Amino acid sequence: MHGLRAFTLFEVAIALAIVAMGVVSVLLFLPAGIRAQQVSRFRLYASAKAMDLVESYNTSSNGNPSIDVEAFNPWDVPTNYRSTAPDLECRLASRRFGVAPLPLTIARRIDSDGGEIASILDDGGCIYFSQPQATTSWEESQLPKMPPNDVQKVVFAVVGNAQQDALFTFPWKAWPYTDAYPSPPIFQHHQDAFVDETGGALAELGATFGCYERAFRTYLWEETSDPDIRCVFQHPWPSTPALDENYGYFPYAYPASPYALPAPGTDGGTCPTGLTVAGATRYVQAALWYCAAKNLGAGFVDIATPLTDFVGAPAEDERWKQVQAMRFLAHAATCLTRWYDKATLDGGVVIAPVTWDAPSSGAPVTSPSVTWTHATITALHESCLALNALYASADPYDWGAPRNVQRAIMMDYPLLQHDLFSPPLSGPVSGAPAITAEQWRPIAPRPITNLGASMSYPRIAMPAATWGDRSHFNLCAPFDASQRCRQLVFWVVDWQAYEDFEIAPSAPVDASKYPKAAPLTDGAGGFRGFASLMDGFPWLDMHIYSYRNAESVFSYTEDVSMLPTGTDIDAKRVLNNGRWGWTPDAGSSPPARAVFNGEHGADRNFNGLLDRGPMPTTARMRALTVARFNYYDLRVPFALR
Amino acid sequence: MPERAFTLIEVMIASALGLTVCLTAFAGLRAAAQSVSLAERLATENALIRAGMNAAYHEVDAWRTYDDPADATRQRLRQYDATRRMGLPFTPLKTSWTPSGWSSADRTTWDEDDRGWNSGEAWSMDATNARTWWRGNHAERLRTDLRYGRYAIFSNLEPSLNVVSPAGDYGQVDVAHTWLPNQLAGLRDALGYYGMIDYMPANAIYGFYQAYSGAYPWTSWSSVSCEWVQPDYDWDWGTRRSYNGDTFSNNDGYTCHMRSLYSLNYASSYALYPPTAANAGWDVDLLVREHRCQKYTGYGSDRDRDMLPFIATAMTADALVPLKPTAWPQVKVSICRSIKIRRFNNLCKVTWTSPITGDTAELSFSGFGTTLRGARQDRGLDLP
Repeated sequence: MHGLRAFTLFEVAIALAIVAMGVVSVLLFLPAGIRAQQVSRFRLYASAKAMDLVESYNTSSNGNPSIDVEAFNPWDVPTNYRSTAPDLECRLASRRFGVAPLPLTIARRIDSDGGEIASILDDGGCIYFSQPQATTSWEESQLPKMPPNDVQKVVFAVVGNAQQDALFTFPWKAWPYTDAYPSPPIFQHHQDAFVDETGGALAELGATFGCYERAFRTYLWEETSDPDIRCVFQHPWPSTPALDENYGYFPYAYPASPYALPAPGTDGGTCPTGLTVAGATRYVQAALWYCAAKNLGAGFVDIATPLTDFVGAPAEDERWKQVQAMRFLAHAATCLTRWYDKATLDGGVVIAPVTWDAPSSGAPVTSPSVTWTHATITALHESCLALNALYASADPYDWGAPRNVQRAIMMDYPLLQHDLFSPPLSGPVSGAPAITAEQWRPIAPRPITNLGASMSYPRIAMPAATWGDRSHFNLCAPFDASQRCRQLVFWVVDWQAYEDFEIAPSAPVDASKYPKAAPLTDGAGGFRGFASLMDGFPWLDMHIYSYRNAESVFSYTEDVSMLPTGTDIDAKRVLNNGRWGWTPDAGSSPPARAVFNGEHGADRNFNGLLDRGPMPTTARMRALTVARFNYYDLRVPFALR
Repeated sequence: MPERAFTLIEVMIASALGLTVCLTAFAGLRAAAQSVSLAERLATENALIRAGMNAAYHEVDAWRTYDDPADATRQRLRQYDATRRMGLPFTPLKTSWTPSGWSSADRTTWDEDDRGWNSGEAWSMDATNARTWWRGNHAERLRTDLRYGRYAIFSNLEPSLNVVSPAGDYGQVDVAHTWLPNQLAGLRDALGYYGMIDYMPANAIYGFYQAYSGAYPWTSWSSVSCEWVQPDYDWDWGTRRSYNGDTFSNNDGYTCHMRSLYSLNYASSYALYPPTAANAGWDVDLLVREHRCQKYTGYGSDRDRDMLPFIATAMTADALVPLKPTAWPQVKVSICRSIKIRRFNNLCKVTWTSPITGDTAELSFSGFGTTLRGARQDRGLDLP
């Protein structure tokens, strides 16, 4: 019989060690469940943010109405660069749409699977974070403080190459120009005199009068496309001292001679007195004369029923003449209703002919004599709208007459793009002539007819050799879905744990984000220097959505790095300043440039306090990939309604 | 055979080992329980946040907080002010805007004297449809001496009227184009500003001419209703003043001319007002007024004066699970629909409050869904 033998102590110890290992192993698995839930949480955040981004990308306004958009060299206006590209990260990385690049110094400390973040940064891309709340376009500085959330731990990037985009605007001439129909010839306010290619101020093209506190000059832009339009605006020119010898729109609507400057501060709605029926009649005569100068006779100017088509089937690139003639004629005709009542008009109002030499040809032209009634005036008005609708609907590539602002549609916009396969244009930068800039040449799918001159630089024509090779135009080319697919990648990383997360400088700001003025004369025969152009116009915070540092709303206006953690820095942020007064990030001074570039950091959690995290800047973090979403990449500036 | 007991040292070691095993097991179980509890809590919270997000997206699309087609007690925005003859965003058009001049069977013949909403007409798309062309004098501000003539004779709310003005009278005229002004006025009266803008095309210009009036309802000398051009205009006979907003036109440099949505809307918002705690007491009179009002939410706005009252009255805050277990977080879903910088913004918020710590966190996002017009069509509210 064998004796019973218990486990030895050694065996028991081994057994216990094995049991302990098993228990520990099980315990190690338990946090994985928590981690899975945390990742699930961040996936929720990422999906909400992706929807938010794509919704905002497609529906937010893409206008920047306070920007200079015309120059005689395309590199002298801040359009058609990254700031106005219809790419998601360009549209939304804006202080108004709540997305900003992560400071580069922080982004470089973050590792990710496959080195994806480093690869994006190496390629010149950015990692983005977003404001704590969705984009609403409400005034950020007046929003209630948000409860804390960790949505900002979700960072993202856009991967996949953006396609080549359409031009945001045509930099030589920001077409389409729009005007009310009917209307008088377009005359343009400009703060400074128009310049020639050298920067020298030219003789004024029209009248000068005041507006608010400045003496803006006013120019008759439309005579640059057709010198006969001068006679609709003012005949003779220069004006004669006797008012009753002056014809056209301007002597009627502004009947002072010589045209006097209203007192500074005069409200633009207050006009000189002295309107007369005779003045209105002379305006009508001028408009009728213009019709005659365009060979438009009684079947055009003396009608009882509205025109529904062009008279005499003109060539497509000649239609603008009838559009313009009817626009002026209907406007002038309607002025008569201020002076004649319907009963008088129904009896017929006779307009006598006038004979002047046409500026375009030098030949004498006699306007027709007409007898107009109320029915004629309403027929002219209707014809004006009908001819414009026909003209504008038929061809966005004829720029002979402005589009109708009352019926602005997306089809008014010509499709233009850069030619990436022809040698670029090059030339000096305005204000810094020692520096040579380059830009791709523009191309359109078909020739632009009646290109004309721009309102901003009417005396500087676009060089004939500017255009690229039309065969390279591809905006209308067929495409595969995959060619327009880009991807949003989301990671989660607690980057706000870094001690410098609010004092690290902003990521480098694309130069086109600076709303620089177009070339301006220095008043001494040359152009203003570059620094002066940086202060060229007031920064209207509410009208320059795509410009300035994406962090500018919450970026600091001074160095706060020496302040203790928790300091109230509410008053040290740019916020929505930048209307008419204090604009801390505008100008060429070193302090302004530092603020523009976000060198002092930013209140990145937007809580109004200076925060520092516990992590030293020497530590690295690892970002966890939480989600990827594909989306459609636009090529054309566009906003869904 | 003699049996040998454990020695004292063996017992002590065995006891120590046993104790270690018990403590390890206890710690392990405790950690496991806590981990499971935390994971479950996170899972519950995630599930509720996810449900909140889905509820928000669904609400953006379905509009049931604003108008519940299955519950007549939750149809506050269907009311109609018979005295003013004004509706709310969900008022049936057969109540607020009686059609005339066309029938549902006739959707191809468009006449100037058609009245009411005809959903079959692609009127914003057809360049040849002359009745959709806006006619007016863009250069004309609130103050005018009529130097550019009388545009009231081309297009007007009235088909026939005596055109008069302090600048001089013109006489009795028959106006050729009345459809577009009546569409604008009809939508304004039937739906309020948000609804009117929702139904009008994106390039609409807001304003029209009507018979001159030197008293309420005021017009300019050129007969443009002051509602469209005067920022502090009192359309409501002296009771205009909403507690934090103005009427249709904002004070954009006091430009005071008829214009399109961008310049009307970059400094302020047009919104809808679903039931909230802050507006629970609003009667139909106040609802009518608040839906004909824009609120300052852009530059020049003030947090306390403008933004907070606006958010309180325009943003819902509904509990996702009103009767929840006490261990669950309190989750609220909020929606605010407004138009700002011509964007129809559906701001969604999911807010959750921990039952343990009381801490609140929030996720906000914008949603894309059915328009007001779509929601109304879904409910059959546009049927004549």
